[in-house]
Amino acid sequence: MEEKKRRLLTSQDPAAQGPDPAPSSASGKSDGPGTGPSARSKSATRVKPLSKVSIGWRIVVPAIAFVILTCGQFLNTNDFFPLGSLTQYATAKDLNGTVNSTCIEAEFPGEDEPRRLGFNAATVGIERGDVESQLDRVIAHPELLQSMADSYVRLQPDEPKPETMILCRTTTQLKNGLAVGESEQTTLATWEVR
Amino acid sequence: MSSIPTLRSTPTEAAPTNPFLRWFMPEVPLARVAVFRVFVYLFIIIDVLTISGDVIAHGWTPEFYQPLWLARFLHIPAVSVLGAQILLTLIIVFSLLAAAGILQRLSGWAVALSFGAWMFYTQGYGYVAHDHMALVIAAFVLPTIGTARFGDVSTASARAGWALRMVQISVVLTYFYSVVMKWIASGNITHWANGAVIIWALMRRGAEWSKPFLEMPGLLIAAQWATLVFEFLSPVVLFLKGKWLYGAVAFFFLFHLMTYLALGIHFLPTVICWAAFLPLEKLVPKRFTSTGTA
Repeated sequence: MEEKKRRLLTSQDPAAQGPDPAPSSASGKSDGPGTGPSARSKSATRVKPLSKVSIGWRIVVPAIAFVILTCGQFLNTNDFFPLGSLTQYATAKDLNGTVNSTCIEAEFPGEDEPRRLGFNAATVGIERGDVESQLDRVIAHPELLQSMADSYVRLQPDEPKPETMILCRTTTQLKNGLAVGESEQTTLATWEVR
Repeated sequence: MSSIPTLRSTPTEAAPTNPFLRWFMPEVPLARVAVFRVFVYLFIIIDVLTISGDVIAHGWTPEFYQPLWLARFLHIPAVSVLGAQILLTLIIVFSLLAAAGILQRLSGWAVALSFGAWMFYTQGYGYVAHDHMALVIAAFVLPTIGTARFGDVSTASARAGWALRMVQISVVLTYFYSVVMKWIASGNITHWANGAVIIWALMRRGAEWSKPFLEMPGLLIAAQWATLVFEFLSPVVLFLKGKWLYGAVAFFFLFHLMTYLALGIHFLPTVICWAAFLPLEKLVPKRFTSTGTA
């Protein structure tokens, strides 16, 4: 009854109250993705127009963001996140070059060989990508590995405390895009855990 | 434009008449926003608990903090474990309120600010992922719409259209500008396309089932060319309608599914924002769409 009353008062067509139909290329009238004509059905009222200020800032702010995003690409900087450069997998790799992968190992008491640790936040408090992004800094300041050792102890309380942290790199040679031989491992930095 | 009296509790507004502005801020049903909002805010909860869940661990490694420009400008310090846990709690609470449509503007802005801070702490430790651009922008544009309810199926709003358009543009620019960046970073775009990027990615983090593809570099080079082409053409999606739009969205879904299965790269924060292209109001059960009860 209440519904009927509303329809009478608003002069609305009950058929116009259903869900918006799928955006149709056949209609050719939709002015937005998925903006079917029924979005402007008989019952779509316009109480007041968007003010000039309302329209203005909705143009100016995205325009500024677009400029920042574009500058982010050409300056090749991520500093303006979320409008930074989209560098993920953007650098070309030589089919006859090498594939490097950074790794982290630790020496534990009573073990002869260093043990490879998971290079992720759940194991050493930080992801491999984070360290690779500041690799030069970590190599120049190996004391940063202490922080990873501390994180390992806190995150793995049942595991023994490592004696030495080793930042390493595996290198695989490519020839015409195919791996050649075994990967080689080099040590980038070591740190005696305190 | 004259006013039309209604019993609607959600005020609507007129769209601009300029053709560009009609495209830039089209009228879309507010119900679409109500559904999209649920998608975004529930996903933000999933995001902070899983994909960007490294913030609490970053509390253990403050020495690695490399604050981004805005974080430096605002003097945002490295996060502590307790600070990260409090922030996580706030994001979850605010997101639940926002998804439920409670205190819509307030809860929306609270999510935007707290999630924005969370992003500084997940991206500010060296590596900056690019899959969050559209999601962060969605978090900031959704509160500008105001009240939107599931019942607003036939209530059109240019504010809603603008916000969804911003998300759509962010989504396609994520792909289009990645091509621009490949061109800039490689000097010559053909060097990237004819190079060993997928080989490099598969060797570093490829799933076991995908390893045999390392024996087929020609196929992987073809895949690189295909990637370049569809990333370059991604802005076309802004102008597609009907089955072509659905097809394009499905294509990008499948692309991300494949990269997830092969490389563990899911790009879910961007994938969820593809929903901004769809007539989500169709998901609202008819019993919620009675006009006048919005």
